[in-house]
Amino acid sequence: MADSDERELIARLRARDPQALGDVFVRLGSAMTTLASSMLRNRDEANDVVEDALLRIHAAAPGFRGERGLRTWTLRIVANLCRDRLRRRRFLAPVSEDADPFDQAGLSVDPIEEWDHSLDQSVVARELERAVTTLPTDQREVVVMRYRLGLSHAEIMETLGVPEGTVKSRLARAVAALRERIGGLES
Amino acid sequence: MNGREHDDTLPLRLAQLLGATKARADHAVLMRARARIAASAEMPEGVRWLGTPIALATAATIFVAALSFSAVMLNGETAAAADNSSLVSALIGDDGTYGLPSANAERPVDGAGDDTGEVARQ
Repeated sequence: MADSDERELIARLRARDPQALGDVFVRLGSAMTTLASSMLRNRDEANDVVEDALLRIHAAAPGFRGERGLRTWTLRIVANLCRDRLRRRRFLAPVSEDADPFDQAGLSVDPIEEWDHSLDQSVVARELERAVTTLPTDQREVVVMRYRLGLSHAEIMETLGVPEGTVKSRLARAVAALRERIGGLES
Repeated sequence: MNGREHDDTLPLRLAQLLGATKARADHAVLMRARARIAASAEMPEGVRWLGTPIALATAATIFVAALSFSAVMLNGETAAAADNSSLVSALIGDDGTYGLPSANAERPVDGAGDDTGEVARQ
């Protein structure tokens, strides 16, 4: 259920308040960019997707009644745009495996306080990111939404428009693949 | 089979790492989006309508209708051409002989037409 701030923001969006889109960006811009960057592995393309998503939000806002949360609605638009781009990209040259997964995507890792300092955090993070990159699109989507954006199963379900069982099975397959790829880090 | 088959929970360390990895929003993206919205708002209504999916669907419908109409017109033209040839024949009085004397044409009454090949005697 949307909180009162969100309801007010949705009402302003629907009324085409020029400031409302900026408030959506302040509130959700980071999540939108993180999702697009994680899916597309390309900073410029991710920014293009976020830009297009803002235009769609502006265009579709009058029809948005807020039954779904603003965050899931917005992320669904971004996820759909990413999938369109990835479909088109099948006909282009693949992204090099050797390229740095963070530089390319415009991602960065914040330091983790309780990290085990016997392991180099940035090295492990890069290895993990490469493993995430190898996941099929539908599995990568749920991993990013669950662990990077912190969405619940119900929110992922709402964002992707698939049943909860599908979300759980995709997540289970993704987790199994990641464990297999970087199993040594589990302990 | 193992117990982890339906486990959708990542080990804590990996989950922490994934959660700590983010992309920063670029404010220029918002500026560009606003500029595009402003530009589209300044466009005349008709021009803006041309950019909508309805305009594409309308153009496709008109194209298909024009194709169908031209196909119908071509068929009608062919039929009319066939009719015209018989009409022209009727108008010029062509009875199928193409202007040549037919075998049962009426014989001349003065016999001038009876050329036997003999030279006339004086």
